[in-house]
Amino acid sequence: MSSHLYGGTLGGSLMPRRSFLGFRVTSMLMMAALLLAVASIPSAHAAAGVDSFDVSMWEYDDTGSLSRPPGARSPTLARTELPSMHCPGASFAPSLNSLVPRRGQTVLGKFPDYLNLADDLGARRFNIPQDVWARMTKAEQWTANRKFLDRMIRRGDDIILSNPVKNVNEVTGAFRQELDYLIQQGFRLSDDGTRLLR
Amino acid sequence: MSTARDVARAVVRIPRDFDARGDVSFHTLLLESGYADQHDTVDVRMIEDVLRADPEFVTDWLQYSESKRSSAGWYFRKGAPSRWEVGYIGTEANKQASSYRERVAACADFIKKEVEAIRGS
Repeated sequence: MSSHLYGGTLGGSLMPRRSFLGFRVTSMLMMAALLLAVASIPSAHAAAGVDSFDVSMWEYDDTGSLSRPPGARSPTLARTELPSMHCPGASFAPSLNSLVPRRGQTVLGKFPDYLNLADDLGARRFNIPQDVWARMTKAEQWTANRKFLDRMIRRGDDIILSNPVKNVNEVTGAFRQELDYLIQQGFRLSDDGTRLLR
Repeated sequence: MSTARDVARAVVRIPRDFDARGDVSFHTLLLESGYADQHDTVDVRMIEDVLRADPEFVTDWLQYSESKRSSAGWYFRKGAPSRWEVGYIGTEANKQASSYRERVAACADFIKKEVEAIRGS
């Protein structure tokens, strides 16, 4: 087992690497950290009155939803490392392994149509809790959105449009910004306007 | 001290100011409008009156709604032919929608619901 698996932000040096008990304590710490991160999502910033965000720190879960706002005190778990972890007796390992991003489908479009279609398809979509969204500037919203789009591109997802597009010039708002960005990245509209293709 | 109508005008301008200024959030603009102090007085009818005087703001709110990227919330959109829809998307249990014949009335209803949701968040 490579040492970097235990040399991350959890402070693996605290425990003997091959100790069974050590593995279990490490596992429990990781689980607690994950639960803490999830529990602190909804209105950490609203409660603190924060009205400015460093969206470069944000992370998203595998559906595209915000999973860790800036300031959440949780260790960063490198998802690609998880499948390699050998944790005898750690029953949660398979569910952590399932977090590794896979190619899939992402839905883009107008609110709320893209949410409805993504729900129907079980596809990814970009969304942020409303209280957080309302406290972001236009630039911060786009930075977060673009980060989501970049991840989608890297995964190679199929891109489905909830609102078919015949002419990009007739589209407005955030949907237009998303289309323009993806066209800049080499995508084009399908003939029926329901997908973006490369 | 701003009158309730001044506050209603400031609220109706929020999407335009949000786009134009770029460095300020919707939440901050709502605070700046004075709505928090007048939320009982600024009702749907007053917002509708302001919109009727400047109906071009309806387009701003339509674009604002379709550009939302929140996991839940109110929306305003064109519905069936000659109909306008104001609804809420969230969990199955709290989804709801109303249909209007008249887009200014629909927009006013949406604005009131949206600013109340953000005021309470």
